[in-house]
Amino acid sequence: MHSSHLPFWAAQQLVIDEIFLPILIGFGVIFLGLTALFIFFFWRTHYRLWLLGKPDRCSDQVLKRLKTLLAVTFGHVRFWKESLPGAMHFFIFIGTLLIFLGKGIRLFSFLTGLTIPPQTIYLVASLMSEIGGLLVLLGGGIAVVRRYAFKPSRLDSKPDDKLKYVLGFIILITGYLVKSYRMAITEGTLPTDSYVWAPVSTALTNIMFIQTSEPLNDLLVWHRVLIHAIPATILVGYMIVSHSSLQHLFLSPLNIYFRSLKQKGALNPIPNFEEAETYGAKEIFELTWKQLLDLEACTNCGRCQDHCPAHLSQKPLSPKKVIQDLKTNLHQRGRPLLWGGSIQKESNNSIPGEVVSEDSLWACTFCLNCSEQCPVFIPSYDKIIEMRRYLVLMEARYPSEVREVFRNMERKSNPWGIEKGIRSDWAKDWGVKTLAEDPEVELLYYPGCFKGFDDRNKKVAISMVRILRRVGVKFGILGTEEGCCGDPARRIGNEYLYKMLAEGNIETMKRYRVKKILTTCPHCYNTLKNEYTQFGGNFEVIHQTEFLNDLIQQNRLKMREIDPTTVAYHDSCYLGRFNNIYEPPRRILSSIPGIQLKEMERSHHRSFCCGGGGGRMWMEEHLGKKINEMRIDQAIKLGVHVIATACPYCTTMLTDGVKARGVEEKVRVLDISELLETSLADEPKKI
Amino acid sequence: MAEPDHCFICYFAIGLLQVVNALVSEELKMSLRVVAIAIEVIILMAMIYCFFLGLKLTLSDLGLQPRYDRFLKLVLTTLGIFILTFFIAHLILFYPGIIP
Repeated sequence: MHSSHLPFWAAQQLVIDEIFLPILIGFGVIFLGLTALFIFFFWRTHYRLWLLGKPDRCSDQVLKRLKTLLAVTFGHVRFWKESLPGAMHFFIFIGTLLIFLGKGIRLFSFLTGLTIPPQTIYLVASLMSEIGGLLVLLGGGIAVVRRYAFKPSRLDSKPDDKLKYVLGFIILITGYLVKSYRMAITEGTLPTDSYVWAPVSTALTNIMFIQTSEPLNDLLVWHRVLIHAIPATILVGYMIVSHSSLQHLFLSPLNIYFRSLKQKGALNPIPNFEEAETYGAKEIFELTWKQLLDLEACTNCGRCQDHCPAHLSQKPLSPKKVIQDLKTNLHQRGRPLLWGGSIQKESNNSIPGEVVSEDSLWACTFCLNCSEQCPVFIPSYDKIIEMRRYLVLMEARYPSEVREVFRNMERKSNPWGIEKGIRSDWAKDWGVKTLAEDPEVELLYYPGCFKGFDDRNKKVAISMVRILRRVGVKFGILGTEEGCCGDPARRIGNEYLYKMLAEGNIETMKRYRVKKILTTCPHCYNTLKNEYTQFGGNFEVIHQTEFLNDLIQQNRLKMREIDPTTVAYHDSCYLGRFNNIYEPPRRILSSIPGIQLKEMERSHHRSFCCGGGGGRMWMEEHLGKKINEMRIDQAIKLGVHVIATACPYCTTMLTDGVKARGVEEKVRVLDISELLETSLADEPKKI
Repeated sequence: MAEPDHCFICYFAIGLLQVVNALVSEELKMSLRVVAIAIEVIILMAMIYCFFLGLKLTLSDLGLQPRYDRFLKLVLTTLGIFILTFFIAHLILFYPGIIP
C-alpha cells in the first residue's frame, strides 16, 4: 500500500464515521423493526393460514431435504432447464449474494478499524460488491427486456413487477453513486489500484458534481446515502406486508424444503375412506397445509403453462392460472385472520367449478410436465385431483361419457365393458398358462386391459410373449382373474372404484404369492409399483423396456439388421416423468442394427403428452386442438418413418393422430417390443 | 477532491473535463446542471412512485375495497405533485453549479 494513499483511506474512514455509521445505526433500528414486522406478518398471514389446511407429513429425511434446498437455491439446478430465464435469475441471485457478502465484510473491517490501510480482504470485498451489482443489473436488464419488449405469453405483468424492477434499479444505481461520491469528495490521493478493486465507482468519480464547501459536500453525501437506504427499506417493508411475488425469497425455499418426497405422480389415498364424511376438496381449506404453501410459493413464472399440453392445445386449463386463482381465493378467505377475526370454514364458494372451471379440471392429462418444469417443486395435479374427487364422489359431476366407463370398470373390470371372460383369449393360441394352471413361475406377466381387449395392442402382448419364450423365462398370467389396475378410475377421481379394483387385484396376487410382475403398460406399471403399496400390495414391478434392456445388456438377445429406418422415440409420461425411465427404451432402439434414432424437440423430461392420460383416453376432446395430432405434427417435422412407443395409451392416441393427419403412408406407430421382435426373427422382416 | 496519482486513465479523464470546462460556455454549463438536476429528480420521483404504488398494492392486499381505488389514486397523485415541486425547488437551490 503506497504511503500517499493513507490520507485517502483516513478521509474515507472519517466520512464513514460521521455520515454512514449514524445512518447505518438508524436504519439498523428500522431493520430490527422490519424483522419484528416480518415475524408478525409471517405468523399472522402465512403460518396461521397454512395451519387451517389438513395435516400432511413433510418433515422426514431432513438431510435429503437440506441437500435439495441447497442445490436448488445455490446451484439453481432446476432453473437451468431453460437457459435464458435460468441465467437471468442466476445473475440476480448470485449478484445479490455477492453484494451483501461484500458489504458485510467491509462493514466488519470498518468496525474493527482495519481500513487504514484496508486489508486485502476489504479490497476483495469491494470488488465483490461491484461485480455483484453489475450481475444484478445484467440479470435485471434481461428480465425487463424479456418481460416488456419480447413479452412471452406465459408472463402476465402486474404493477408489483414494475415496482420491484424500478426500486431494484434505483437501489443499485444509487449504491454506486454513494460510493463514487464518497471517493470523489475525500481528501488525499485516489489509490492507483482503485480501478482494480472498485472499477465502476472509480469511473463514476470523474463525473461527480462536487460542492464548493465541505458542509455542502457532507449534505450531498447524506442525500445520496438516504436515497440508497430508503428505497431498500421500502422494498423490504413492501415485501413483508403485501402479497408481493418478492415473498418467494422466503416462501420458495420453504416450499423446496417441505416438498413431497413420495414417488412422483403417486396420488395420495383418501385417509379413513369408510369413515370420511367428505371426499376431495370443495373448500380451499380442505387442501393440506403443504398444498396451501404451494399456492403461496408460486412466483407466476409460467414455466408450467408453457409445457402444459392442455394449455398449448388451447384448452381452458393453465396450471399457472389454477395455482394463482386458488392463491387469490386463499388470501381472500384468509383476510379476516389478519384483523383478529376468524375464518368461516364453510362458505358458498366452491373451488371446483367456481374458482377453477370444470373445463379446466377435466382438461388435465396428468402428464406431470407442470411440476417437472416448476423450479420450486409446485405440483398442480394434486390440487386438480382433489377437486376431481369432490366432483365425482360428492356431486357425481363429470363428463357424461365417463359414466359408462365407471360402470364398465365396476361390472366387467375393463373400461370398454367387454366380457371379462375373453380378457386372456389372445394368450390361448400361444399356450400361455395362467397362475391357476401353473403357479410356479419366475414372474407374473400383467398385460393390462389394452393388451387384453384392444386388437392393436394384443399384438404387443404377443410380441412380449414370444420374447419371453425366446429367452426361456418361465412366466404366467392371471387370465380372467386379472382386473383393471384402476388407474383410469383414480385419475378421473373415482377413488372408491379404484380402491375396489386395487384391493381385488392385490388379493388375487397375494393368493398366488406373486413376487415379481412384468408389465407392458406404463399406467399399470406406475399403479402396481407406486400406488398399490398404499393398499398393502408390495411387489417388484418391472416395465418391458427395463426387462428388454437388461436382456440386451446380458447378450441374451441377438439382433439382426433390419431395413434402414429412422425412428423417434415418444416418451410416455408415466414411464418418463413419473418413473425416470428415459434411457432403457433408447438403448433398446439404438441396439437394433438399421435403426437411426432421432430425438423430437420435446423429449425426455420435456416430452409432449399423447393426450391419453388423466382419464382423457375415455373423454371426448371438444375444446381446442387435438393433443395427439399436435404430437404427430412434431414427429412429421422430424421426418421419421416410425414413432416408437412403450405405452398402449400412446400407441392408440398416436395411431389415431396419424390417421387424422392422413400420413399413414409416411409414419407408423410401433411399440418397442414389436420393433425388437422384428429384429429377432430368424428371417429379417420388413417393418 | 481526491486527486489521481499516477493513473493514466484518471489524468486523461480530468484533462478532458478541464478542456471541456474551458471550452464550454456558461449557458452550456447551466444546461448540464439542468440535466444533472433532472436525473436526480427522476431518481427521486421513481422512488416516490414506487413507495406510493407499494402503499396502494399493500392496502389492496390488506383488504381495501376496489371502490376506494380512484380516491386513493387522486390523493397520491396530488401528494406526488407537491413532492415533485419540493424536490425541484430544493435541487435548484442546493445542487452544485460547476463541473470540477
